[in-house]
Amino acid sequence: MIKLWRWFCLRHLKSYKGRALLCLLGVALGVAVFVGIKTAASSALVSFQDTVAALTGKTQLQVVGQGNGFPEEIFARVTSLEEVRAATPVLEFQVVAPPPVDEPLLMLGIDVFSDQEFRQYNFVESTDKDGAILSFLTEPGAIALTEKFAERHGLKVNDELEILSGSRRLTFTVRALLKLKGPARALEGNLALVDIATAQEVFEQLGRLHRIDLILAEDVSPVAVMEKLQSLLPAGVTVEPPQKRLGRIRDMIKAYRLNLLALSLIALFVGIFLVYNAVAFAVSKRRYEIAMLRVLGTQRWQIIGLFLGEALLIGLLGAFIGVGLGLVMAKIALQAMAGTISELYLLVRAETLSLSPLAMVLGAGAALGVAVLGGLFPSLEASRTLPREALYQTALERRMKMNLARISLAGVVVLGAGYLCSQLQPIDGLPLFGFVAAFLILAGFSFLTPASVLLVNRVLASPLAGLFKIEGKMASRYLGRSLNRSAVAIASLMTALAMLVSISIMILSFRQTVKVWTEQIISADLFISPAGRLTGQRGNLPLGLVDSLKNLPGLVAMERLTEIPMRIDNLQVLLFVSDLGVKGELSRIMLRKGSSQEILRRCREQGQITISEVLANRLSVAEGDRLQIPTPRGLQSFLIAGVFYDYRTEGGMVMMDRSTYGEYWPDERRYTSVAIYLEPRSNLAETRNLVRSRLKKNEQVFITSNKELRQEILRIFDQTFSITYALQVVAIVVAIFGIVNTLVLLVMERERDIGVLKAVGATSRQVQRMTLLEAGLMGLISFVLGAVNGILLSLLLIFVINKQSFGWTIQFSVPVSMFGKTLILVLVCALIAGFFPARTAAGKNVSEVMRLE
Amino acid sequence: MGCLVAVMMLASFITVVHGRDEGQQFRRALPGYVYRFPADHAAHPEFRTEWWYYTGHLSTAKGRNFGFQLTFFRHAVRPPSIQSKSNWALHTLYFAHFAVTDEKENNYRFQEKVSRGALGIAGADSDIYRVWVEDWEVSLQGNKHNLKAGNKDMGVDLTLVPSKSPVIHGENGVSQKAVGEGYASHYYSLTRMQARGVVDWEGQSYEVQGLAWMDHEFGSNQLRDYQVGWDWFSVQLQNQTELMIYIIRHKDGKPDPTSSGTFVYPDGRTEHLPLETFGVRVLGSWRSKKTGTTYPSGWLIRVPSKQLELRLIPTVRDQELTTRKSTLVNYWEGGVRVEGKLEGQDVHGRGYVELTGYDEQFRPDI
Repeated sequence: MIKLWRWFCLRHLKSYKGRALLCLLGVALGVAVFVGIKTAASSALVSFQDTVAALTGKTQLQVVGQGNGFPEEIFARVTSLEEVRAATPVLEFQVVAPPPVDEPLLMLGIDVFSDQEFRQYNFVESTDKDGAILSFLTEPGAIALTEKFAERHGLKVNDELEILSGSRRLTFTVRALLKLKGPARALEGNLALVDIATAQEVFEQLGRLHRIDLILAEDVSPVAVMEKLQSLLPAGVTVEPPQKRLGRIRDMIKAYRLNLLALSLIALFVGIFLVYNAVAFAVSKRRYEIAMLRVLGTQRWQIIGLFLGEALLIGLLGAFIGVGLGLVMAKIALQAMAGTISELYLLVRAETLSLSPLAMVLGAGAALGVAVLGGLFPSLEASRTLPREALYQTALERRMKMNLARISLAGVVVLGAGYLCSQLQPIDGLPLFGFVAAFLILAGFSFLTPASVLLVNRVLASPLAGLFKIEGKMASRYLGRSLNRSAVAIASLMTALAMLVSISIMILSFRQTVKVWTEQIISADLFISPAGRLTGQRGNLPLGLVDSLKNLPGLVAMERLTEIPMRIDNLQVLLFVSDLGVKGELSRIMLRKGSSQEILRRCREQGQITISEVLANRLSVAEGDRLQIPTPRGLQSFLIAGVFYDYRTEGGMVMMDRSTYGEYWPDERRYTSVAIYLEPRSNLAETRNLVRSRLKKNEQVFITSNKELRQEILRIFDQTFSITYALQVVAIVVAIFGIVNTLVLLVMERERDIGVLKAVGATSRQVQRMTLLEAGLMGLISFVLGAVNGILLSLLLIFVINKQSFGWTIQFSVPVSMFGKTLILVLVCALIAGFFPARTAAGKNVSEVMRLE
Repeated sequence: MGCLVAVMMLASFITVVHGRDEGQQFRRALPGYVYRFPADHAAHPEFRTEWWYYTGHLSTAKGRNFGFQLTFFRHAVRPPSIQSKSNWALHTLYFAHFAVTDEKENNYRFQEKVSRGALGIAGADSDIYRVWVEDWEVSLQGNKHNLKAGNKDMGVDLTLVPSKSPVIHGENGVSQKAVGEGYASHYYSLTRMQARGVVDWEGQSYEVQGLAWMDHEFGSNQLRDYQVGWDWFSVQLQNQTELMIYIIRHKDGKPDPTSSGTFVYPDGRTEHLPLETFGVRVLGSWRSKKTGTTYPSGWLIRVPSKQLELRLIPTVRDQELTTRKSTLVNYWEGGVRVEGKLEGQDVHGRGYVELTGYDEQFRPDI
């Protein structure tokens, strides 16, 4: 059998190297995308896990505050508990070292003495080691960096390092270096240590802590201690095991990961068609040989084995190449992903790819699965070859047509199942059924492809004949007759197109929604925000600057904004404090229900709040409900006046007037940004310069016009979707492989027909035109099916998958120009794909092909 | 004189500051200091370094013997700075070392604590005697010294009552540690204190009583760089006399000429013993498996003028502290049994010995 297989299949593969390679590449690309995305996603997570593990040390419980931390008196309270064996205070900042360093750093303010019980920081010994550590502890601007970070930027002990924190440029002096061991491995070495006193002073956090790490006495139950501790803590300050943080982060990015992974599967899906094509090609090419084998007594299962073996060989090679290629892709994707996660969720640095055996096994398994799925039907079909078919060649099409009704029925059933799935609730916050529905829709459309091809073909037959005379007529007929090949090629292109169309509609609708939103809500003339601003860490504006803005020439009003990250019901939420009176009068928010002016007025006058749509969905609350919010004065209940659309954060927002805030929060007078409304015809450039001139030496802020701010939001939006765009391109490339394959196959099967045509007087030119027309026709049909399928899928993406994973309302809009561009793309691809087979067909030698007749 | 450990530590940890002017901002220990009690039990923040040191030998009614050492250190890294607004700004470090020796099981364990004293988590009051690091504490109530340290597994809760008045070491109110003005400390001891209380040891509580010793020493600038360590001895004899001797060793092994001792009569009178009046012979040695350091073990002390000859034998050979968190110094500090003759009479008693500077100066990473 093996011998037979080697003779029968390998020889064939060898003689059609190019085609085999094309199919192989297609499968490999699909696998690569899957492996790449999965590996990159798990690497990002592993890197974050490493960071958390490194920083956790021996910590058993953590007291964590929100936003601006909590008063340090809590530390004394916590340490006095006899159940607590050791406690250490921590301040944590995400800062940016501006160019030339140009990297983010996690900066910890620690008390080295009590921290010793928890973590082992390894200081690099220097000649002046004791002095170095002492000055690290006592000098105001002393900082310790990891050797790795310092070396990368050529920094040595006693060198200075600039840090951008909020709107201030701070200058630190490197006083000690850390070996890349233990906690210093956090964030791949992008960790900086300062003494806790330094941290409190430099970052203006006097009297405040961000975290307390705890080790418990032996033989006490952590759960009991947690309860006891919690009762000692004010609202908003919680005790939790350090792993909880990891869980929260995993939760935050799980929807993001799943969405990318689902996208990557589409390329694999297209791979099934490729294999089908390849094997079908092999079968048709060797119909005569198969029949001969059958004549010689080869069993049916052996025939199946022969062709499945061929498919598996493609799968196996595809797996190998795909996994290898996937790791390369993962490296690239990791950068993009780490960037997006840092921008949207939290600071991660993922340099090293952690190989995920699971991703590789799944990828390889998927390749084999694709091979079997794709190869099964043509193999079965091959096994049905009757020995007598060695004598003639046209049985196949008849069989396919007979099954058309059944295939179409299956398509309808599958589509119905897809619809049902789309109506199901998410599991654990993930739209798993939504993804199942997406694949069912794709599969359903694929099953309906043959029938659709016939239908479209019939509709187009007479216009084609009218337009292109005899060649049009012939092209259309051929397409209809070679349904079992062409339908597969069309289905594969249709799948790729459906994906392209659906994701484009989704992204463009989303982008349009965001764009309209920015235009609605961003109406101030200038926005001032701190220059060093990172995810999860909102820096403050210099108070002096904010105060000085009041007498800005041409000022109509200013809206001072304070953003405070907090947790409500274990959700990361942004408390958005603003002068809502100004907002109501001069700007607006986009509300689900009610008028912006009226609701903002109620917030201002009656101490009510408005919350973002995402938060309303997550907490299942609505207008008129009450929401409990932890404040320094205990849990307080607020009436929800309205629900607004917001696309800034994924966790949700609570908007509150500054006067309400002042009632419950100590008057901290810190502002994360300021919006300035100017008189019409004010000179923006002049005002900008004026504001800038009022900055002190070490202060740095961004001053943005409303137009620039809108652009910035869209830039971040586009960056977020960059991986998605890349995935689409891959799927299209794979689909084009499919078209080329199919057309070559069709021409090959029709060699004799072409011979006959030529014999009866068709010119080479006519044959070429006919083949190109057929290619174009396939492209057109794929496009029509793909567009319909894509619109359906986009509805699913927007109203089910997006809604369930992120909770945003996206206004559905169909970008007409996108369809035009896609059609042109498809036709060009199809014609290019058809060009080579067309030339081959035209070049056929009449006598050679007619010899057999 | 108890713990030279702190001084040893300072020699390495704080050198830089010493080199600067800040070192001059602390008061030096100079002759003519007049002691006042109980006020002088409390902290003296005008001096850079200070420690309170307690050792004792305790036994249960059934005759089970425990030794203990509890020392609190205060070390000013720099004078309290006016610039720093943070409560955490480092100016004073507080350490505590605590050790228990279980003579029956030939066992010894120690614990240590360190804190920068922010938020009152550690501190030393300067008006009333009270020193603490987290929940370890010593305080004065009337004439009672209340000591509390350790945890359920290894802890003490003791009340110590002195039965003799304080013994002031050295001459003219200073105990000289090296040649040169100011290389000295103010140093006194309570050489005989009746102890009573509870020892918690490996899950059990023991009612105990016994005899304790307290040292309190403060100064600013004591050792010189040619001095590498010292041997310190305290002895309490059954006939109500006590002896304290310290020998400061130079790098070349020679004793510093300022090394000295004090002999305490039953009625509390004292006699200063300069180096030439006594001799100490080492009888054996012990090598630590933990640190590889070899310490002397067993001594013969002679004070010819007093017709005093004492043999000191450790109750447990391994009584080594490897303080990885606080002072970062290895030293041996342990109880000894004492036998010998005083003016022809057989005498016996108990003592504590401290040996520093025997290991390679080592500094693990923080």
